Amino acid sequence: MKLEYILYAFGILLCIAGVGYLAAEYVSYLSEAGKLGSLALTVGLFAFLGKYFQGLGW
Amino acid sequence: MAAKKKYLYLALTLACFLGIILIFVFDGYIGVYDSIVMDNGLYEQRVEADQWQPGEYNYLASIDVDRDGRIDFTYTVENHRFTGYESPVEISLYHGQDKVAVLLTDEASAAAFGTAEITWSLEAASLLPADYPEDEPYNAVVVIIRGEVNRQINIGINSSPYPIKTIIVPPE
Repeated sequence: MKLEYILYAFGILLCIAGVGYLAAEYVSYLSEAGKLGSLALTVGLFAFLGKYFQGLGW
Repeated sequence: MAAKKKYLYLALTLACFLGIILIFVFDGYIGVYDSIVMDNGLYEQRVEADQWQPGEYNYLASIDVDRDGRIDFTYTVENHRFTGYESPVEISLYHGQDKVAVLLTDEASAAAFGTAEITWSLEAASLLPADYPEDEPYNAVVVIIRGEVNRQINIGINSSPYPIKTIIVPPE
């Protein structure tokens, strides 16, 4: 049971690292205005996702 | 009411995600892009805007031509911006590190979301130095300078397949 959680955590970390790496690669080609817009929308995305999960009772 | 609000947040989350994707697409489209088409009479060689820099594949824009051939160049500047674009363009010919000649100086000007086109031709024979051996290939580089942008095209002039050989007839 404990091992499963460790493997889950390991998998999640790998996913975050992979997505982070790809995001950094793509963002390097964006203009400054594009980076700022993407940052604002990413903040909004996580904020609304948090509110959605809050509504689900998390 | 609560369920409606819950789906509103989900919709806003998706809208933000779509917005990020749209920023990437829009940002990739906006800008000034240049490409070239080179025609040596046998085939057309096209170099797109993202193929100029010798990157991981070590690609360098190049074209070959026969000694009696000609290359027609069409250099296109696409202005994907909301404002007009104007920049001086100098096209010169290099052999090694030496600047041999300035082929053309022109102005590339394009309206918003318009294109500018510059065309010129090169006769292979005119590039060769006098008394250059016929059985040896020759290399030259066309350099296009547009504002801060520097593009290079390698021109390979093939050696003559049937060089004229001078045979000295021995005296009788």
